[in-house]
Amino acid sequence: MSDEVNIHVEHLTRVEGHGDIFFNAKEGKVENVQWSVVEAPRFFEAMVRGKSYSSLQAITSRICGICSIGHSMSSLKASEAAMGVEISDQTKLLRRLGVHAENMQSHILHVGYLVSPDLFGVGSVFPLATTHKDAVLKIVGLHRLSNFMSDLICGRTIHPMRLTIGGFTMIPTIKELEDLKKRLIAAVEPTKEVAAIVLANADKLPDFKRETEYIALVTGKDYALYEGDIGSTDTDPVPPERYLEMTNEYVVPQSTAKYAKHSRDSFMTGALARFNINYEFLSPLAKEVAGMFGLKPICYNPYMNSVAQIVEFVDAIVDSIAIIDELLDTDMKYIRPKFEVRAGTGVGACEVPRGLLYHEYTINKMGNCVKANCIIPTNQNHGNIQHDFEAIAPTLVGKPEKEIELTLEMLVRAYDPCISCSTHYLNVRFR
Amino acid sequence: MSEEKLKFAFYWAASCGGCEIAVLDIDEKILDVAAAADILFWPVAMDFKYKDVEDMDDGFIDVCFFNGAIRNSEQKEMAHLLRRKSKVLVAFGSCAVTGGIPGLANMSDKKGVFETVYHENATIENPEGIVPEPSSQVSEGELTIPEFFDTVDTLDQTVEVDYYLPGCPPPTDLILTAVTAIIKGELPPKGSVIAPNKSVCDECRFERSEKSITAVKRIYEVEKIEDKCLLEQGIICLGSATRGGCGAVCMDANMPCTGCGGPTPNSLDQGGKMISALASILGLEGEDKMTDEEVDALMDQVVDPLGTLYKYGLPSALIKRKVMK
Ligand code: SF4
Ligand code: SF4
Repeated sequence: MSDEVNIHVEHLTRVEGHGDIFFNAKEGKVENVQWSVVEAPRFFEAMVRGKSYSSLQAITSRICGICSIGHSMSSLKASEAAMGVEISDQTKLLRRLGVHAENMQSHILHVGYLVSPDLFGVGSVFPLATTHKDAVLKIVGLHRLSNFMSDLICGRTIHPMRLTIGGFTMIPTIKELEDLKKRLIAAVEPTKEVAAIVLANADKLPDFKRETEYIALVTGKDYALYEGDIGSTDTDPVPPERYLEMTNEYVVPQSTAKYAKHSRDSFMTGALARFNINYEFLSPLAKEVAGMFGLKPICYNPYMNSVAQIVEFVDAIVDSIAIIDELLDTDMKYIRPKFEVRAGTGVGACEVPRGLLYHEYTINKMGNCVKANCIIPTNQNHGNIQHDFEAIAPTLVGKPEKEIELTLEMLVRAYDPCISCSTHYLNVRFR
Repeated sequence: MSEEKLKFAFYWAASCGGCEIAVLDIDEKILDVAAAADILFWPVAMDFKYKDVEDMDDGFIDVCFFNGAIRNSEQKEMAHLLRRKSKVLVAFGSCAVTGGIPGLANMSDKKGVFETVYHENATIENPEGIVPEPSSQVSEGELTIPEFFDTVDTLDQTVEVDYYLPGCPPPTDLILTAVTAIIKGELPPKGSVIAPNKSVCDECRFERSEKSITAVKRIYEVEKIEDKCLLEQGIICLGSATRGGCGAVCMDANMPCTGCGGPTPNSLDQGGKMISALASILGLEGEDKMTDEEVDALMDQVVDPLGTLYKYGLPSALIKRKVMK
């Protein structure tokens, strides 16, 4: 190997991101390391302009099929805030179940299908089907449960249709909820087993640390997901309406994605941020699983985001069971949402699998959207990935190219920057 | 035995990723698929290197499932490349088949879209008016960003397509039907839509009784949804103009059909068919006999007619896009 190392990792595919990794070192020193986002613009903000309030959720759901429930939630909350629509306690409980269902679906997909191949040193989940059939079947089973739950609460896993402004078009029956509860209880053991399998290979997760800011919703009384103020490890919480103070998006010429920053040069949002900020509100079982991995707040290792996702999966099961009990205790009944169309501006902030998602709409008195803004979690994290790169790069100089590449790729993957960017389909070029 | 295994590939263009995930929703059966076919690449789940595809012989891939619409230069190039490398190309999901939700951008153009996203949004600090450039210099050389097109195209407006699998996303059952037919070598004639030759109404739990209505309403404006055909309650439901195969799941959730299955068999234009259906249920003469004023009056009742009648299919509709100024 010559003195000069040049690595260029090019992503080809995307959902919300399309990133290139550049790394070059000369005479033992890092000359440049760069995370460039070459996102194919999706431009939903322009597409919903002029559209009726009644179609905003269905359209913005298509921003991402993997977090379509989260986009639907943020969208409905923004429309409701804009038009002053109240929702019932029952609706809120059901929506919280929907949020859990999607987080579970996405987390198990990420940890089970995308991260574990790295830990086992294979290219995809398929070889694992023969070598670790039992584990794969458990993962598939948990994925199926998550989908079953999404279908039951939201109508469908991908692009839900039961979620609507003011509530639901249909709700599950008591019997269906009881059935779901049984299945959730039965999922606890397999979840622990999957966690144990990941733990057995967790030594592959690099031991790296960089102090940064973490941002997540907070309520001060629970592990906030569906609603809350915007909290930070650096500053006091602010209400969702002031989200622009937290995101400060800016445009850079070499990228179509917008970047974000708050009190430092960059921040992180997502499972690890939520874990760091809301640890105290996790269930004992979730804390126990975190303990298995030695994960404690504040953890500054971004590679541990995948572990935080496992912890959240466990917590989602426990909290969902509690929500179902609460629903069953009340007299569940279906009430059709009723509201007046009003002009106004509103923000919907919701924690989705990859972090904080904001939608903001201005609706006119005809009920048409005249202005929209959506800030997805993946974009908020880009700046932080770059700074992690800069911090880790010097420790990689002199290592074999394959190892440098894998370490950088795994870092991007840990952020779970929407499935596309999860880099199992990288084009690697050494020049 | 292993050399007889089929070679599958999945790819996404202007897509939300939902179609890719929909494939995973066949759960354990995905392992059966993996036993019958080698999956060469699949953005959502496995490695993929552009160069590897380029190096393949033409026709090397047996079946490529392509989801997403065509909206920029890179997607167009990939469509051509994958067409060459694949024996069978399947347009997978509404975006690839009829343009899908990204196709709604055909109501604007590149300039309008860039204005909104990079300049007008309150949230962005962009005093120099930076917009993404197709190429920019970084120290390693040139970094290129795909060029963004004015008009969103479907896959078959870009390359020849062998089969169509509509839906947003395609229903799990149809995915299984298609994959099983491929594995067994029992595919229908080329050009077929892999979905039943019937409309969503045929699969709907409600019975249509051809009753007439007096006005069109939005679902939100109806106080109580009754257990009967939504169209007969005045709610615009595209079921009669839309191909089935979905099991009418939206109506099961008390929501009207919004048309993701694309036009019904033998119908050229989904929106056109819906206009006729609306005219007839409103007791009008039928679109061909109606005067322009009558059609306009009817359309006035429909909120956002283009977005409603062609929600998933503007690029493949007879009008294709709003006239560019
Ligand atoms: S057809 Fe629907 S699910 Fe598939 S990529 Fe397009 S928007 Fe997503
Ligand atoms: S119009 Fe809609 S509600 Fe009525 S039968 Fe057809 S699909 Fe069902």
